Amino acid sequence: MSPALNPGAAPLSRRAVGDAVDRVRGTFTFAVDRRIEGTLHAVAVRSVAPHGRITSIDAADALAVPGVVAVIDGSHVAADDGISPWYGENRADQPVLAIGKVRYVGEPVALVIADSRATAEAAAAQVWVDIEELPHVVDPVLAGAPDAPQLHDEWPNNDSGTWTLVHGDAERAMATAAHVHTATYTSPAQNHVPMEPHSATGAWLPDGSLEVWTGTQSPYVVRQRLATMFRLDPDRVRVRGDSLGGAFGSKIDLRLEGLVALASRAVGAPVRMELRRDEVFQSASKHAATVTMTTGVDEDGLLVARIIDIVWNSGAYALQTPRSSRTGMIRSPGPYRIPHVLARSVARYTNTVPTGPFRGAMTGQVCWAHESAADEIAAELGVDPVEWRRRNLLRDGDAFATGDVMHEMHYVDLLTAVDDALTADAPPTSSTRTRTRRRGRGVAAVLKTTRTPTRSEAQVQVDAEGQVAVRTSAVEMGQGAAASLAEMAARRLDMPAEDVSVSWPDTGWTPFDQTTSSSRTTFATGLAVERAASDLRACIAQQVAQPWGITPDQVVHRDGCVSSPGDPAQRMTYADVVRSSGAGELVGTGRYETPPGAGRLDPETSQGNVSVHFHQGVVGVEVEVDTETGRVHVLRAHGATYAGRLIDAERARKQIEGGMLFGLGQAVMEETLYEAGQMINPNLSDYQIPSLLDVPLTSSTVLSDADPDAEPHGIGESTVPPMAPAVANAVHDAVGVRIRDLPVTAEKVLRALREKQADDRKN
Amino acid sequence: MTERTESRPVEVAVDGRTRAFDVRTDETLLETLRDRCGTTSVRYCCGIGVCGTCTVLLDGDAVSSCLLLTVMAEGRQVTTPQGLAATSCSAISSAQQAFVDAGAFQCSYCIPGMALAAQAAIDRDPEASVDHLVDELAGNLCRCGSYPQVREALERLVSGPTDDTATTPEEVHQ
Ligand code: FES
Ligand code: FES
Repeated sequence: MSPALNPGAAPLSRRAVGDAVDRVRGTFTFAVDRRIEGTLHAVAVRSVAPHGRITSIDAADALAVPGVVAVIDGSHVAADDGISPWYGENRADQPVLAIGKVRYVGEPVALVIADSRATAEAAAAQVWVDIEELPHVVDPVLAGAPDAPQLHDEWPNNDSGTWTLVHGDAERAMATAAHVHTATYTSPAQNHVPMEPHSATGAWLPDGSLEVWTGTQSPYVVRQRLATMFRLDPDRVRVRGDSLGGAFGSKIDLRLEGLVALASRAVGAPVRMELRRDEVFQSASKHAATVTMTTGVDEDGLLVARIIDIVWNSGAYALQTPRSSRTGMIRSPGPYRIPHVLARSVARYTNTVPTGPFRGAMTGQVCWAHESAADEIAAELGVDPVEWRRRNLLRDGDAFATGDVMHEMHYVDLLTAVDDALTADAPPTSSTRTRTRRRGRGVAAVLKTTRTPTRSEAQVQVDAEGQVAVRTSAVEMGQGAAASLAEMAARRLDMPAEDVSVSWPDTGWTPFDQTTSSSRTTFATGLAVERAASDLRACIAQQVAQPWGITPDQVVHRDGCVSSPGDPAQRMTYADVVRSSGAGELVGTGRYETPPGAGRLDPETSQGNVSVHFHQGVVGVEVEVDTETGRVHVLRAHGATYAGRLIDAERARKQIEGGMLFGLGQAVMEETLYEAGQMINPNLSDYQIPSLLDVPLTSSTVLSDADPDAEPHGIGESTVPPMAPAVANAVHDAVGVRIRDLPVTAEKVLRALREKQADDRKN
Repeated sequence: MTERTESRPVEVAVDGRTRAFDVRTDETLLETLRDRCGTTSVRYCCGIGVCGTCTVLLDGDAVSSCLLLTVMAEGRQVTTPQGLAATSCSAISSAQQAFVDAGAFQCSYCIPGMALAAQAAIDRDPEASVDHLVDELAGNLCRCGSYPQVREALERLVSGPTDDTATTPEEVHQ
């Protein structure tokens, strides 16, 4: 029976600990492996113009291709009263299919639905779309000019979010500073490149409810969007997820789910979509950003004021930008004690691929600025950059730029760990050092807020066979969330984690979870799971305490059994307890919610309590620069982060070191390039990501809190943003040139070296 | 209007079992394996032969199945990651075991192709060095950054099975 047509089916559950053999052999499955009987296939016809009015869409030739079932476009959507086609987190500015107008190359204009993907693909090339081109804009600074092409009539000046942060009086304080430094730092659009492409299957059930299987990071967000789009009660939408082959932010919010639901509605059968790699490039992007940072320090090099201006490129549609651009602005002062901060942030629509969160969302761009600036300031003051940071980094009791009084600050220890690791010994390398190869070291630190406010719910249950199952809507995407949740439950229940199964998300069965992003899962979902497991443990104890004549807290839990302390004869497995209870299963529930008021900020000044805790990361690298080619080779990288209560050291290491390698790509190679409004490198040959040959020696330090009641902190993003500035700082240390425009490519380094030589000769 | 691409019968041995299909002449082996055989260990990522997630062995040589037309595999032996150890008595091959022992995966999407490429390389040259294996795997990309553990897996593969578990980071409790 096809699972889509079986609404009673329980959620997917797996043993999350001990799945290594399946993962290495490849029998472990992902969302893209989900196939449902009787499914048709849809392929999008995409805009080839960056900006224009759709004058006609002729699908006659496509419809004549044998196997093609239907072709739908925005006019069908707009004419359908059952559909509310516009969506977005903060403003509904994006149509599920282009309606009347296209705003970027790659925007879905029509859907071809056929009996096979190959047929749909071939037919999509025969849908003739006429577009009357309008002037386009790809640069967010130009998009703010009065005469710039306007993308959305409803949102003038291409404004997709304007914010300020006012802490103290930065302009006045700046005037008193002993030394002032100003520079502008730019970072380009980049792609998440999840190895697994996006996929989804949608099906309308006979009762008029909608079911979608999808590779998403945020099942409950998708449910809400679909409910709004198809005017359904959210309970009539069931979103079922599976493991993701990487996501990094690209699979948040609505992606293909609206399209497959639309297609399925049109043809009355389940419809599946899977993106080609070029379409993945055309679906989501990191925000390009320009950050101008002016910093004042006193005679001792202590920070007195910082003024930051940020322009974000939000792409053609806003999605989360109106909220997330503020988050990025708030992180832009960096992890420093600065009495006076003024930050101004504006996001602008452009005719480029819509943006979304990107691992360490909205932080890489601002970290690139404040950590490059840190080294520049230290150099101007003649102070060691590590020492300058040590003097200025946030410590417990300091106020952050939002006014938050900081606690659990570990920056100085993290920095020391990185500095020690870097200075310990030179890395063995195959490349011999010559006069044309220079080595240098650099460090960088980052502060990231976590999603606040936030809420997660969990259930932990045991059945009459003694099977323990954790039910949450957390998404396993390689970060090891499922294994961590299994371990957290198992510890509370004093049983082996290998015996605990974990649900994969299914909004028909698994309880609410806001999203799997922002490094929040181990923390927020994890705490909910621990509470549910403690609740179940108490429930089990309750069942046996009275018959044994003891109180529930005297019951001993060990290895999945309960016993009475004084009487060895009184011993039962959890399965026995369930059976004797007469209930089919015993269920514990738990939830985590941030305290009331947390996350509330003043709308004008962004002062308040921004985050329940702060993600802290420090990275150090050693590079070798070839002065003849400009090529930067990162030889080693050490990452350090604070984990709060650590759940698993091995997975932590993979996040810390994997995060640095993810950041390495953004540091030295990655950039999506546009020409005439069109992305020209949407493939993995022209857009390169790090391979095994690019990888430095990596090592890591994880600071943690041994207190069993301490909160776990997310660690999946803290070493991504600092990688780029650490590399640029190391390049400066090696050859004395400063690159302020990411990525730090060989061409840029070489050009800067030539300019420096010319300058040196002049002087 | 175009007609559908012409189909042709083809016989391919997939993981030791002869399979007969009627395939489009432009159908790739990747499509055939995923869509007709339900193979999950062979995966699409780049579609242009640069990422290695679609790696299979064709008569023992590692190839990108996204670039190979199924009609070209007529009469040949295709081995997928999940079928690699099918003919031996252990469930997984020595390279796969090394990846398991090193904990070499995060999302694991890229890993079956990597382990298969590593197995092909070590089978071709049992004396291969770690550096040689690293070169052989240069065309297998991993976005999660599991490379340090992949390297550990290659070291294990070269030095033979050992008992010690994967190294953990320096842990500091406050
Ligand atoms: S999908 Fe074949 S090499 Fe990437
Ligand atoms: S483990 Fe995720 S892509 Fe390699």
